[in-house]
Amino acid sequence: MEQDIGALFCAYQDSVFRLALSYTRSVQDAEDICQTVFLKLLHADNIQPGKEKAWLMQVTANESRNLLRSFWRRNVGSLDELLEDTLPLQTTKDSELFIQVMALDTKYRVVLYLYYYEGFSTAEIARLTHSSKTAVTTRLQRARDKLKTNLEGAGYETADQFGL
Amino acid sequence: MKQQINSVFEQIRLPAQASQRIRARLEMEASELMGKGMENMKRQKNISVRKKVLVSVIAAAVICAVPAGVYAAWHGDIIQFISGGGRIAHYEDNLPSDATQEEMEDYLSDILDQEMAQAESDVDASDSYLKVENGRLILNPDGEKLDITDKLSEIEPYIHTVEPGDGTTHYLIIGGTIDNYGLAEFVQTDDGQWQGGFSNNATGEWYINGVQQLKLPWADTIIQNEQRMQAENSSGSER
Repeated sequence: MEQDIGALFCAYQDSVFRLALSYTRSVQDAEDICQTVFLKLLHADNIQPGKEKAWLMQVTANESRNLLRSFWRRNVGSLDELLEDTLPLQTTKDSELFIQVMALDTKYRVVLYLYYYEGFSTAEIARLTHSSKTAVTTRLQRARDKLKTNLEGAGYETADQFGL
Repeated sequence: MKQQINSVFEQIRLPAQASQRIRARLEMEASELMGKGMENMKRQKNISVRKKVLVSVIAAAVICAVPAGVYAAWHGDIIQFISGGGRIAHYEDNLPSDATQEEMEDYLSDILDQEMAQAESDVDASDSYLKVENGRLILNPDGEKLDITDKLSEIEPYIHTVEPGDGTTHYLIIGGTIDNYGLAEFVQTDDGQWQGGFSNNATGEWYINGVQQLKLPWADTIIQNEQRMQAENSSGSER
């Protein structure tokens, strides 16, 4: 795998980082996970050609969950710190949407990212997150509802401004 | 909604500094991996050279110095010859990886000395399955007596194979005359690897032709030594 690692890193570094960030809400943790995941990729020898991205996302999800389960991680990493590290985005609307997505529970923001941005199917997300397809579908619906409620609570007309 | 969320996440990227740091780490790791791969290849190559040298040195010494002898075992395996002799050699473990050719040959000469000390008993053992009885040469490697007198030749080898059932095939090369016959035994495993050999008075055209027919990895060494011996014998006769 070492011969392709440079190209795979270029292609998927941001996807890995975004998923790790969706889980951890910490730029530092997401960077660390990113490094860990690609180092594992370097040493992996059982990945089918064309399945690299699926493998990366699966390992990223696993690494992120492992980090979240650790005692140390439960006591650090706040939304405020995340926003300090990542904002502002290009527009105020983007920043507000990002804040509200990241304010959701982990299970909701992860499925939102995987479904809307990465384009994974609910079945694929179920495999990645070790959940059932029904659970993913339910989480997606609840994530949309919560997001809409939160944005409206912040004074936005969600249907017009965010397409919700 | 998809469009709005995509717009947001598109702006979230691995920071450039982190990207460079991780890339550098990956390159370093990849370089180390390649280095290890090269080292393994080099190590394998060294081992191959050692095996070749071992066989060459011993084959040469056996043919030149004594009438009978035992070629070394490979890989530290025990080789049980039809003759009853067995050998074990762990020479690879005792040689430093950076040993020079000279050091290897010194070391292998020591092994050869040890093998020579055992050779006498193997000569007797080989006599037990290939012997002259009532003017006939009888081969009895596995309980069945074969009269091979009429197959003896100073040019064409008689090759008999024995499969003891342990995955190896033993090739017995026999040639010469009823008064001056010789034999050599070589062992091949089921994966095609040659594991060593035993010889007793194996010399002459029949022996050269025999090792050529078996396509032994060290056939060239044996043949060169045979030819050198023949040349020395010829010059000795002339004097």
